[in-house]
Amino acid sequence: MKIKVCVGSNCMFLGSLNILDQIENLNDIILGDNEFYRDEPIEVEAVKCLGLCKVTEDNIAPIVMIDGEPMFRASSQLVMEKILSKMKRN
Amino acid sequence: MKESYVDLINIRRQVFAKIAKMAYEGTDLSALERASFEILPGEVARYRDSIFRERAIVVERLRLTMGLEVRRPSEYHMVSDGISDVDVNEARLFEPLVNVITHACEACPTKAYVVTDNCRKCLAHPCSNVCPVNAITIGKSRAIIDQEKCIKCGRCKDACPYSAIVKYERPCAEACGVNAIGSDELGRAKIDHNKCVSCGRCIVYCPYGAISDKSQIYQLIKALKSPQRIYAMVAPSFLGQFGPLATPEQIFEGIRQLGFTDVIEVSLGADLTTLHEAKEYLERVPKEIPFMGTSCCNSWAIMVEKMFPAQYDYISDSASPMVYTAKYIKEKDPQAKIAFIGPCISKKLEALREDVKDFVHFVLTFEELMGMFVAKDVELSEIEVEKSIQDASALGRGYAIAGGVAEAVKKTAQMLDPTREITVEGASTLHECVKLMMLAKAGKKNGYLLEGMACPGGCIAGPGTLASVTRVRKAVADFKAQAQYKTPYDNEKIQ
Repeated sequence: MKIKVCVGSNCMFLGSLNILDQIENLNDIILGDNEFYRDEPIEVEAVKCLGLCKVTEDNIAPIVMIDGEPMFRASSQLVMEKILSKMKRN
Repeated sequence: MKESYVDLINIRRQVFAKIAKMAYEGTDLSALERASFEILPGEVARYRDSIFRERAIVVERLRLTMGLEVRRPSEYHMVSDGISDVDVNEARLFEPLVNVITHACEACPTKAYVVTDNCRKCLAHPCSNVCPVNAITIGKSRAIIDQEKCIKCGRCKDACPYSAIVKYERPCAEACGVNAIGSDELGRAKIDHNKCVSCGRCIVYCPYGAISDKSQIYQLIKALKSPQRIYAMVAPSFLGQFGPLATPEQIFEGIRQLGFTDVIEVSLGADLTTLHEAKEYLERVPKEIPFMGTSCCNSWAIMVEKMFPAQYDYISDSASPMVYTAKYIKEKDPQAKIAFIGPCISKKLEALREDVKDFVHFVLTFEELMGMFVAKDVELSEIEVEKSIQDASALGRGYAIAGGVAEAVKKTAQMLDPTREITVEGASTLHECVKLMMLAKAGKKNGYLLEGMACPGGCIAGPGTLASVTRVRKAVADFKAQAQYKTPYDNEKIQ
């Protein structure tokens, strides 16, 4: 699973570094539990400004892309919940 | 900064960005009346009991960021009262620096031991058996602690097999290393400014964001827009603060784009501090003074001055890296106005000192600087720049992390006199600093070089930081490794 966390000025200012810190440790949970979670590491990448916040008047930062799907006004708990639910074995 | 206090951090930063934007755009300051509505639109409260209270608190934050006094809720004032005093292009800082926004304070109870739902009212009840003042009785459903009798020794907590007793403390008071936080008549936090050393720990730890310092961001931007030449000097802990993709070179170039004439590493001044302190240690210890304390952390120095006045002379006479760097810039450009940008709020007070105020004209935190980047739409990771930064030695760059100052001074002193054995000891929270000084006062640290830092882990944990300590520690190590000069003696810029 690929996670891209925007660390452009707006996103970073509104807490994307904290999101990055939180999800970087998620592999400890996932890789330690083969029963509940798929045996696949999450790849976390800090990316340059995606430009999405610059084309709207709304406050949408911070932005996180989870497998290509953007999450606006992301918070660490929402991002982690989404990742872990997607990583669950059916 | 406490990374997990996300909402608080966001409110604080939105205020910084707002004021920075107003300053850059030259907005009429009457817009301050409206600013809290723009930051918190709508009618529904997001953080507290009501939107009105949320906005009232944001207004105080706006005032403090402008450099104005926090208002008491009992007195009538306009939002913009006093605004003409701060609508200038030079720093205005009226003490106190650290302020409680009284109507944001939730008057948390003071230190107590509390029995929680975990209590099973067990037959053994060791809690009451170990209580030295017989303060615990077994009530109908659980143990009860008589708070009048309790002396807060914590024995009951340690004895309980169900972890049913917790120690409860106000986060602000617990974080304060000099016991400066008391209560007002309504139980809200009140800072004793005779004790406070402006380290900023309480600002970081209050979970309601009720404590704030003052900023010079507005006045600095006005100065940047004027014809004056403003130089930025950046503290050694700047690495990694602006995101993992912003290189040190891009950060420096980004600062230039904000309107600064030039940017320089404060680690250059750290090299000068090292040279002075090394010589001073060799000359004065043990002949004139029994031990020597480092001088670069302002809160540590103020703490020693206030709590250990007889030992204050044992703190090094050397100026701080901030001051040496400013003097270096002044020598090259006598008309220079100089802004220190760092993790620290205590430097805002150091810059007011008689012997410093002609050299350091503004003090800004990394967080406030980030507000300027956002207001000016600067994307650091997009900037193209090649020139590498080589203002300081690896030892100077190590000042950011606890232990780094003593290491630099010790190594340099031993280069001057290889026969000298030098014992160092460091403390890197204000609590630990006080303990260390008590031992030193009692004669237990004679011959030592003592490194005092008020923030846990050193400057990288300062209240004005943006990134986690782990991230910054690694970035500082990388930057140290890139230094052409290994020790202050190699640094060609200061020879």
